[in-house]
Amino acid sequence: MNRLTPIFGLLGAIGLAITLWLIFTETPLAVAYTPDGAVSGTSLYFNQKIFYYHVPHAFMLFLAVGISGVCSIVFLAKRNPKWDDVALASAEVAVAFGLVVLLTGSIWAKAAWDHWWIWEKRLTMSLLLWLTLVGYVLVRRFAAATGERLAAGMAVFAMIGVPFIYAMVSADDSHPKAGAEGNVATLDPSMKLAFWLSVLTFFFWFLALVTSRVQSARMEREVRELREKGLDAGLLA
Amino acid sequence: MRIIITSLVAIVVWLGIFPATSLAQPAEPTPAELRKTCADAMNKNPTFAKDIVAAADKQAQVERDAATLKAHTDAQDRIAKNEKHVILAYAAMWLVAAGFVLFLWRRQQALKSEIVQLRRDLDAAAKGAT
Repeated sequence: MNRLTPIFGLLGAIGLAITLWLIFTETPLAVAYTPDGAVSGTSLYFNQKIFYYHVPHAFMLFLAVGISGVCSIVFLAKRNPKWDDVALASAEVAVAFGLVVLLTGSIWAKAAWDHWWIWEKRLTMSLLLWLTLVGYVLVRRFAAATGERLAAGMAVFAMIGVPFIYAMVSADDSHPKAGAEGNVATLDPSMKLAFWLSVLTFFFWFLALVTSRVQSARMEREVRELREKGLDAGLLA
Repeated sequence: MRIIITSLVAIVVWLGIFPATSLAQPAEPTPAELRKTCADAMNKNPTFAKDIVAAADKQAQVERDAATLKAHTDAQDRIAKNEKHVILAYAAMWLVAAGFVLFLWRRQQALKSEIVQLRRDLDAAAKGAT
């Protein structure tokens, strides 16, 4: 195990305990701004609590896809397998985070819109991104040695899609907005601490998973090298 | 005289114990009788009939409004305190996280034992070759 993995895991666990406490005891269910503010007396439903985990997972998904894409570009340029290990680890973690984003988003949609799924732009693009990442992992799992380069191309393709997903919410969409006028940017001050601490928590969680998965990738490489060594020397059948 | 007083006391006591059976109370009209009385009165007086219908409609509307309001209030309460979906979402997140960690841990254990086994085989094969 990588030395940093337990440290990141511990920081994530501490952060998680604090965020759970903040989310369920300190964040309000009703926001009432003064006349100087924009909002007055807005009621929040209890299912808004999903937001504190759903959005940080989406952030980590985008980060993971970005890291996987950048490392894949460097791997394609330099052919150094270390970059490929990080790209693979990030892509697999992105699949897990993406699954959480889709599941929690779908559950929230059922609570808020009474539909498990709506084929609007951001949801559809998010699903396509996740399927691309699943494709990447399947290529890495089942393709031969050339699969590394093919998968690297897929990771770059997935990375290019991320800005579109982030920006692709038009005025007529029912999905909460992103950007300067989005839910995160206009978050009530009483919710900011819980939200950003949640982002930090899942960032540590993400680092713990990636470092652990990189370690696994290096071990897989070592297994391959030992097998090749044994086969080359005629020591293994 | 004593007989008269004793009889009067007995009657008073009897009436105190069994007033209903002793005094002839007018019988409560049955719903059918009340309905007939009301219908007769309404047939005789159209204004009274109109007033009765208006009062009944008003009462029915009040009851319908109360039922509609209750349905809306119940729905709002269900949405506002939507614990079911929050629990479901958090459970989904933890299941995915636990599954992924278990998957990573099992793969690392398998790889560790495979590396140890391969090294042992290679050492044994190298010793056998020399």
